[in-house]
Amino acid sequence: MTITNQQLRDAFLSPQLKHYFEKKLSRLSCAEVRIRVEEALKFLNIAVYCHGNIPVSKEIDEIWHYWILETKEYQKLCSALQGRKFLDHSSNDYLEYFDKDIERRNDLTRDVAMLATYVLNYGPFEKKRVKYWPLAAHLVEKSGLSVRQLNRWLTFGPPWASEWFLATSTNVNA
Amino acid sequence: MTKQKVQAGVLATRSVSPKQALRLRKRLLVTTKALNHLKKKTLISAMKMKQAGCCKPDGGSCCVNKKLN
Repeated sequence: MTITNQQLRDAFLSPQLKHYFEKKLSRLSCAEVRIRVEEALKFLNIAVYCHGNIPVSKEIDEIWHYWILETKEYQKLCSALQGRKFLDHSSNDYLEYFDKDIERRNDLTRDVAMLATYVLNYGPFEKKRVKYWPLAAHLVEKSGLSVRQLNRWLTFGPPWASEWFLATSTNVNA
Repeated sequence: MTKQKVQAGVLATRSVSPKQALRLRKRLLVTTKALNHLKKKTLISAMKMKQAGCCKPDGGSCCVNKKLN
């Protein structure tokens, strides 16, 4: 049983917060704000399993920042999320003081684990949401994987590597 | 990602195990076997690999495919 977008909104997004995000991100359509908030909630509700660099894009990080600024709401959110503990946020610019290579310190296994954890809890990636998860976006936009293939891989589907490279080769010849 | 006990939230979630994550990662990477298979099927050629400066699978971002794109 996976968690739906509606369930996420009902559990964590109050009408006043919805209003707040739409005001802060008035340059975007309400539908786009809703998607970003949902993806932020998906990340935050599995963030307890994430160690190291965040696996989401800057647009989702922006939502997180706005949420943190509403301190009471953020505290309330953290106490309801998986883990029920305060989720700290730290900028790489700050962490760079301790570790010069922090920006480059990517861990593929960890990023893969977060994508698989996403699918495990929220179901397959939707095409329009892939861009908010950099590894997923890279695989789809740069490596020729379709969203269907991405989801199949993340759900431990049948071997697909040959199919992937066949698709890439076909694109090359076209 | 280590296995840890976490307090369930309002909408409880689970994580994949480190073993599952490793298995997925392994399936993402280009293997010598896959490259040899594609060479055998003439989908990629040793010549193109040489042009691309590719000597071996490089951990997921196969330079042959990347440069041909």
